[in-house]
Amino acid sequence: MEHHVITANRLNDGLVVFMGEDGCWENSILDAQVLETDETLKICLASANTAEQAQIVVGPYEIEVIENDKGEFRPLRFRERIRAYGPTTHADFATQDVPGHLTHLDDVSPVYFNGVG
Amino acid sequence: MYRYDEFDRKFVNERVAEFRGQVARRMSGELSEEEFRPLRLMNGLYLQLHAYMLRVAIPYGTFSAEQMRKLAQIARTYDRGYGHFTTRQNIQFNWPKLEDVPNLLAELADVEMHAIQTSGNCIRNVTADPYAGAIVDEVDDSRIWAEIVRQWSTLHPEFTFLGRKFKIAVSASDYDRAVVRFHDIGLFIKKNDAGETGFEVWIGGGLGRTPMIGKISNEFVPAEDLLSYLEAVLRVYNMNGRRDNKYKARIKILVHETGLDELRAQIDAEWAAIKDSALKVPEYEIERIRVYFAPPPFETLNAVDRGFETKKFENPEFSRWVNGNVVAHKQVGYAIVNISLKTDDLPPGDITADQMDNLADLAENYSFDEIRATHEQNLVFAHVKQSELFELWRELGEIGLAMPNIGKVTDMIVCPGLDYCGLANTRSIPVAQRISKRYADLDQQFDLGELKLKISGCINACGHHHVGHIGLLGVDRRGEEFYQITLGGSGAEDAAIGSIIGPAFSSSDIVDAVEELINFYVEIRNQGERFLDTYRRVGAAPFKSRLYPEKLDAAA
Repeated sequence: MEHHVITANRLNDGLVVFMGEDGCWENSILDAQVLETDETLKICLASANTAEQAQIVVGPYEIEVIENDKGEFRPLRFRERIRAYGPTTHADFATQDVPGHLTHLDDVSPVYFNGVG
Repeated sequence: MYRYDEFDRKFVNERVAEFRGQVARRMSGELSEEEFRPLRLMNGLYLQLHAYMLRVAIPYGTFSAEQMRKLAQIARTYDRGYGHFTTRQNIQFNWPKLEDVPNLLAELADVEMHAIQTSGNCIRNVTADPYAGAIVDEVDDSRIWAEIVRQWSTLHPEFTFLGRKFKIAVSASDYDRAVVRFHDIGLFIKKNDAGETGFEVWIGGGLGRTPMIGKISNEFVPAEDLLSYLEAVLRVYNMNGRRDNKYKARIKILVHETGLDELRAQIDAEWAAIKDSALKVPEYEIERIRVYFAPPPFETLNAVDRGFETKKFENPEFSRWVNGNVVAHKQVGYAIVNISLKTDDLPPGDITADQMDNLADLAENYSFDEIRATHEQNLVFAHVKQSELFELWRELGEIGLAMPNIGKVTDMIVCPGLDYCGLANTRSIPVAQRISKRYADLDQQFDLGELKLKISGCINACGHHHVGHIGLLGVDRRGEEFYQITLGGSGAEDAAIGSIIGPAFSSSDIVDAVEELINFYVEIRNQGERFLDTYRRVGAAPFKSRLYPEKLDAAA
């Protein structure tokens, strides 16, 4: 099976969060629990739905991730990369605790920051 | 400027209190997200890609220095120090916390602002010509009528749960500076032969996945009957518009599927039944509203200001800004100043809190304490003395807001795209920034003249790409960003929907493709022709051949 992590927006501030190892919701995808089997995915999605009913998060869903050569898991889809790491147009708004947030799209298409290629 | 009366103030404050209760119930779990969603949308609050987004209305685009300062403070306190002006005379904040929004709205209410009906399936913020009250070609101040429509449409019980959103724009000029023909209802104020005021009504315009130019449903609705006519249109739409398919629920589809003549007959029948009701707008009420929009206390000035003329002669940069951004005013000795928010530093339409504060000061000093927002994501000082233009230009330059590119290739309408929007397929802002960099040379921009380039990151067309002289639409091709080019659109009085020129280009090729089209225009243009004029003269084929030469080779 592909690797997945579970993501949502936190209810009170709307920010993107990822389900961590202990079921807590983390700001960084680097702290996300990577799910390797259908069974764990199913269990964690059920747990995420419980978190939604407990007013912790909104709209949880799973995203596919792939491992890079540093052993970090990154979203497969382009949209999810921007969602995970922040807007590509404001360095200040990109997720601060993800190193290299302005290079995260290098392997998809060039990153441009304030017009500088 | 319009000021809240007792009713407005009470209503807005009650709405803040109501939403405070709704947020508290959402946080405690009494309301599910499904139940809460339509309630937050009614108050302009979205949940976007990264965070909540709040859209604040600037009715008919007019606001004061005090209101701008409040927006600056909100940007600092509740956001990340920025605001973003949209294509419908709203400002968006991209990072508010849900738990803070009730306090944010309470602060907005302190300066007579709100986020009501900036989202959801209701009649949205009514927009108007940003030059209203200042431009020589208008037959009346369109804001008076936009305000009358706003009062009628605000919390209208019959039209609070429409099949889809509903947008109205008002203009009083033959020149269309409010993209009126692409609204659900577009109103052009006219005078008849007897000198009476009335409205040419266009219905069924819109962009999105099914772009349509509106059609004239009535050539002259007398002023006093405006609201009953609008009510008739809305009622027919609300009863007969489709609700089975979200993508076919706008009035443009009803006009298209029913046919204009049949729909007009239905509207007229409904109108006849309600024309002589309480909806008649009495003359005293029109005059009461008109007073709010009375011209500011203009001074009697000479038509030519020698100091201004000298500065233009001495300073080519100032002269270029005047040529690009300044428009003649109906009051002798004054001018309309466009302030471009398409600068080198920020995404199109973005403005920092510091710039907002500085602009508030400048508006007080130079433009009778009044600011306008335009549908092209720029700002306007409507009433500036010619003799003070140089000082204003200098001060705008100090805060990075003297870019002289109004109407030029870098003055693009650009949607937030995938950098912010949950619906987008591709990014828009980085493409705009790369095009701006490519055309950074102002001499070149002025040589190209008026060139409207518009970019949308998905088919919903928030970046108005269908009406760009050159339009770019972002499409997802197997997970990669591609951009489809349309040519020949216009959102102005020569309204047209652009045509797709050919297969989409990858992100890395799209700027070169745009440059190729512009180069071709420069090569074949006649004296005085804009890009759009040349395109209309020669048609799509030569542009297509230039853009896709390999197709010609293959055919040979």
